[in-house]
Amino acid sequence: MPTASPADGARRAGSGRLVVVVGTPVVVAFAASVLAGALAATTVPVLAGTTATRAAMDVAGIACVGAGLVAALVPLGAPGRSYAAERAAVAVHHRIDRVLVVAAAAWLVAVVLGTAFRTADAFGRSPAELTGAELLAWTTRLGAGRGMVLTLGCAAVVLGCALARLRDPALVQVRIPLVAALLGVLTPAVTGHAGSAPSHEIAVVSVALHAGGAALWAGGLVGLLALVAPHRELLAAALPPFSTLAGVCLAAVAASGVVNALVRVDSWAALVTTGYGWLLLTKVAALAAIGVFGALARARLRAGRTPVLRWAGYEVGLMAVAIGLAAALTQSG
Amino acid sequence: MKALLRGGLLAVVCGLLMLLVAGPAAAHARLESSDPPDGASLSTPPSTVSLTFNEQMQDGFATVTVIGPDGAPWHDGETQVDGNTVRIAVKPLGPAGVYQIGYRVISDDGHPITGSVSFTLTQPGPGTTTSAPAPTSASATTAVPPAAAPPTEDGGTPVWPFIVAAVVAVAIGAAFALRSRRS
Repeated sequence: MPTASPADGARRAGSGRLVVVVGTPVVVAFAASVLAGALAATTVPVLAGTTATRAAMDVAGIACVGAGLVAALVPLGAPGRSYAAERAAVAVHHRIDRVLVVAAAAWLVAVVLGTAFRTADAFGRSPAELTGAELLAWTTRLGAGRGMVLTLGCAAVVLGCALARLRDPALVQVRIPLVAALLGVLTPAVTGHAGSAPSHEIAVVSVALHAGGAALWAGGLVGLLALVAPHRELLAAALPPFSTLAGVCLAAVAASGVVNALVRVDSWAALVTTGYGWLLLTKVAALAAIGVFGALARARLRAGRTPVLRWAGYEVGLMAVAIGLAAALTQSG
Repeated sequence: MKALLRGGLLAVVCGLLMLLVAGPAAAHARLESSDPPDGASLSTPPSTVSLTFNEQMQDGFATVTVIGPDGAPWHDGETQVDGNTVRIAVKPLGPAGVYQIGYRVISDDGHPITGSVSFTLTQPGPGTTTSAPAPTSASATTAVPPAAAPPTEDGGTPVWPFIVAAVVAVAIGAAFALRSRRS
C-alpha cells in the first residue's frame, strides 16, 4: 500500500489492539500454568494446547456474550432517539451480527481443539495419536467431556442465529444468541473443578455466578468500547445501565470468587505455598485494580468528563490478564 | 435495570449465605486409601493391589503399575475399576524390598492425577520375572516411575484429520457468510 489513509491507520491500530486483547489471556494462561507447576502430570505441548484453547474458548465465548449484551443495550427503535443515532444503531447491529459470526466460529474451533487436547491429556499421549474411540469415551463418560459437548452446542446455536440474522435481523431475536452464549460460557466452569468438588452444589452455583458475571462485565465493556464508542449519543444512552450492571457483576464476581476459593483452598498457608494459591492472589489483585478503574470511569461519567474510554481501556487490559489467569486455574492441578 | 439490580443483590446474598455453610474442601480425584497401605511392611506378598479414591473412577482411564525393588514390573493383566476403587492383579512377588504402586487416573473434570504409594516385602517370595531389567542402584528412592498412560486401542484410526477438516469447514463457512453479505 503506497499511501495509507488515516482510516487505514485507525483500522490497523484497532486490529492491533484486538490482537492484544485476544492474545493476552492465551499467553498469561500458559505462563501462569507453567509457574503453577501444572507440568507435573503432563507435557509442554499438551499443556500449551489445553491452556491456550481454554483461554481462546473463554475469549470467544465472552466476545459472543458481549456482542449480544451490546445489542440489548442499544435496542433498535428506542424512543426519543435522533434519526442519525437510529441509523448508527442499525449499523451497530449489523456489525454485531458480523462479530457474532466470527466469534462463534472461533468459539466452535476452540472447543473442538480444546476437546482434542484435553482428551490427549487424559490418555497421556500426543493429540496426533488420538483415536475416535478415545475422543468418544472422553466426551461421553466424563463430566468435563459432556460439558464440552454442551458448549459446542451453544456455540453452534450462536453461530446459527448470527448467520440467520446476517440474512435478515428480524429472523432471530438477539436475545437468543445472548442466552446461548451465556450458557456456553457457564458450562465449562460448572463441569470443571467445581463439578468434582465435595461441596458440589455450592461450588457449582458460585462458579456459575463467577463465570456469568465476568463474561457479562468484560464482554459488555469490550463490546461498548469497540462497537458503540464512536457514536456519542448511543454511548451516552447505553453507559448508565451498563455501569449499574457492571457494579452488580463486580459484586457477584468478588463474592463468588471468595466462595470458590474457600471451597478449593484448604488453609491460609495454601495461598502462598501452592501454585493455585498464588494464581488466586494474583486474580484478587487484578479484580481490585479492575474495580478501581471501573469506579474511576464511573466517577468521570457522573461528572460528565469524557476521557472515560481510556480508563475503560486499561480496565479491559486487566480483564484480559484476569481471564488468562482464570484459564490457568481451570487447568491447574 | 432495577429488576436486574435486585436479581444481582439476591445472588450476592445467596453467595454470602453459602459462604457461611461452605467448609474447606479440595477438588480433583484424591487417593483416600490403598491396600496394602502406603508404607506397609508385609511378610506375605499380596495377590492384588487396590487404590480407593474420593470419587467415582472411570473404566479405561485408570492405570496402575507395581514396580519391584529390581525395577521390574510385577503387575499382571488389566487395571480393574469398581466404583471408587481401582485394582490390579500382582504376580507372585519375588525379591524382598520396596515395591512402588504407581497410578494414573482421571478426575471427573478431565484432569489426569498421578502418584504412587509403596510397600515393603520383608520375606522374599517365590516369583521371578521373565524379563530381566538392568537393576538400578537408586531403586526405591525418590525417583518413582509413575504409571504409564493407558495402552492405545488397537486398530483405532487417528482422529486428527477429521478435527482439521471440521476446523477448516467452520472457517471457510464463516468467511463465505461474511463475504457474501459484504456491502
